[in-house]
Amino acid sequence: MSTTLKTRHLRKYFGEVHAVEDVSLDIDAGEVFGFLGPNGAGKTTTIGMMLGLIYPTAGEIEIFGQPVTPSQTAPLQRVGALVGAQPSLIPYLSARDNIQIIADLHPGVTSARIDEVLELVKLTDAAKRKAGKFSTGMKQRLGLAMALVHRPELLILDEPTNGMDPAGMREVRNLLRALAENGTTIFLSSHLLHEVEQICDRVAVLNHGAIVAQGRVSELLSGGTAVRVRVSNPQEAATLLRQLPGVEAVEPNGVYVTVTGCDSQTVVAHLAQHGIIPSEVITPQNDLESLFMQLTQEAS
Amino acid sequence: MFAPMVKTEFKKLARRKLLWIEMIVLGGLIVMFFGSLFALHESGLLTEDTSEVSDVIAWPDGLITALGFASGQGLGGLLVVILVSVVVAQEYDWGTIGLWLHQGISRRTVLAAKFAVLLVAAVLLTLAPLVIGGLFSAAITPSIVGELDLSQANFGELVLSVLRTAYSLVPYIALTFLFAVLTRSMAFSIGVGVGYALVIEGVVSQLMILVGGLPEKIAMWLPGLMAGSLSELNQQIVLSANGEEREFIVEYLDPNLAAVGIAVYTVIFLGLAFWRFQKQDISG
Repeated sequence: MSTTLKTRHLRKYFGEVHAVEDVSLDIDAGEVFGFLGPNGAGKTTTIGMMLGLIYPTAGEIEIFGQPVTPSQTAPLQRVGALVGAQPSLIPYLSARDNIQIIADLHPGVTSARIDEVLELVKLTDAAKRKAGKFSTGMKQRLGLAMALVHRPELLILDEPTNGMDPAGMREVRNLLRALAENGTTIFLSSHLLHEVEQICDRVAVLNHGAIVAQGRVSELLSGGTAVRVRVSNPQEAATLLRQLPGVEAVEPNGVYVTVTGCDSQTVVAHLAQHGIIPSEVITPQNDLESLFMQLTQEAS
Repeated sequence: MFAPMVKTEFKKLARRKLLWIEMIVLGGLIVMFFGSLFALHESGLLTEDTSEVSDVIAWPDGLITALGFASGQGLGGLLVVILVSVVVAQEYDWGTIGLWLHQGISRRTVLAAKFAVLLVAAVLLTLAPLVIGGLFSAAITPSIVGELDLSQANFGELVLSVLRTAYSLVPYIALTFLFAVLTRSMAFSIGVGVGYALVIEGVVSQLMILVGGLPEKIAMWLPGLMAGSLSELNQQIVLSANGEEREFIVEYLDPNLAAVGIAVYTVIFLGLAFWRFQKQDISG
């Protein structure tokens, strides 16, 4: 399967602030990829770099196999995006005219297609109203329509259901599922974990600019036999735990060590034999929200 | 992508009320000015010494007067500062700068398209007062001088004068472009631009001229006074039988030097704006 979107060791520093720290992602064609993290984790900054809006301090981005930087943005013509807390719209133009000006930048987009996306986002009746008069949810729908009008192969969405009512959220979820089934690759940043759980194939969790977990949702939720322990000396504990028979992986992460392949009793007993008493033992949870809270709080 | 982006910018500008309001303001001021002078003339209050004032609005001098309103030395500079601030800086406020960039349009193309459209706006801001002033002048001239002779105007020179006057606005466009990109704020960009036009060119330059010597020579190189130099050429619209030319109180730069000076200002300000925009992190 080809890689649609790739980042390698992406970093962004604003002076002393490390907004994004060593983010490496591979998103395959046709995949729905969830990008999660608390407020201020660096999600929007990462998306800004992907879209050529923000200069990376270090690292590389490739879309459709071609490098993307603020000076090289040609691959973005095949990308549709909805970013920022508020969608970017021209408030004095109507909904239809806002979509039209995006359509004008992409050859082959017809008037019928504009009607189609207005219907997709349920804005047909409001097509002639000025975008500045829309509610937050309506602006979000319009932003989505503007991202979809040119049939992009990759969609990058930052909180696409922001401001929508539950019915609207469900419609967007169904729309994204339908697009993915038709082969569109979707990169979705969202706080709504139950939504991500429902539609995403894989997720990455970002905290303080760094990825703290990445993988298929089902794998992350099952946790396999992953056990997470909090210790005062994670490096020493990791060295000891690698000696355990049957261990599959040992990953120190801050003050925590994650062990896969052994149950919690075996891990704790082995550490205790060597004089290391964990202050916390975490066993896998079975919903994304619990996993998210666990991952983002332990790294804080 | 340049042509589609220019088309987009035209659509956006045409649907804004601001450009049309500015043209109406210019037209309205000309109507007031011409109307007031005409009323004075008709009232019989003008003496022999002051009767020449009414010639300023009679055909074809009325065309030169109308163009003067639109030039960089007149109200045109201020109006262009406001228009450019709105067209460029407001897109930062709305987040739409990012919208164009993540369509895969290069940063150079985004700014170049805006600049191209603003050049057309400068021509429109010159044409509007010219058309209104010209019509008014043609209508009132029979009352002032007895008859209207349209052939007294050199229409070829008129076209060149429109282009010259629009050209005199270009350094204001470039300077405000730079302010808008640097500040990313419409309010700040308007404030700095209008402050420059009113304080530096409106007050400081006049004081420098009064002082004379080196300060006066420096003042001649400001965009507003270079615009004045180009305006001198506009009097060639008038085909005067006795070869009389309108006198200017100020001794301006040679118009060719002024044209080069305007081009240099434009290249510097626009170059800095492009360079800075290329380096910016854009959020939203």
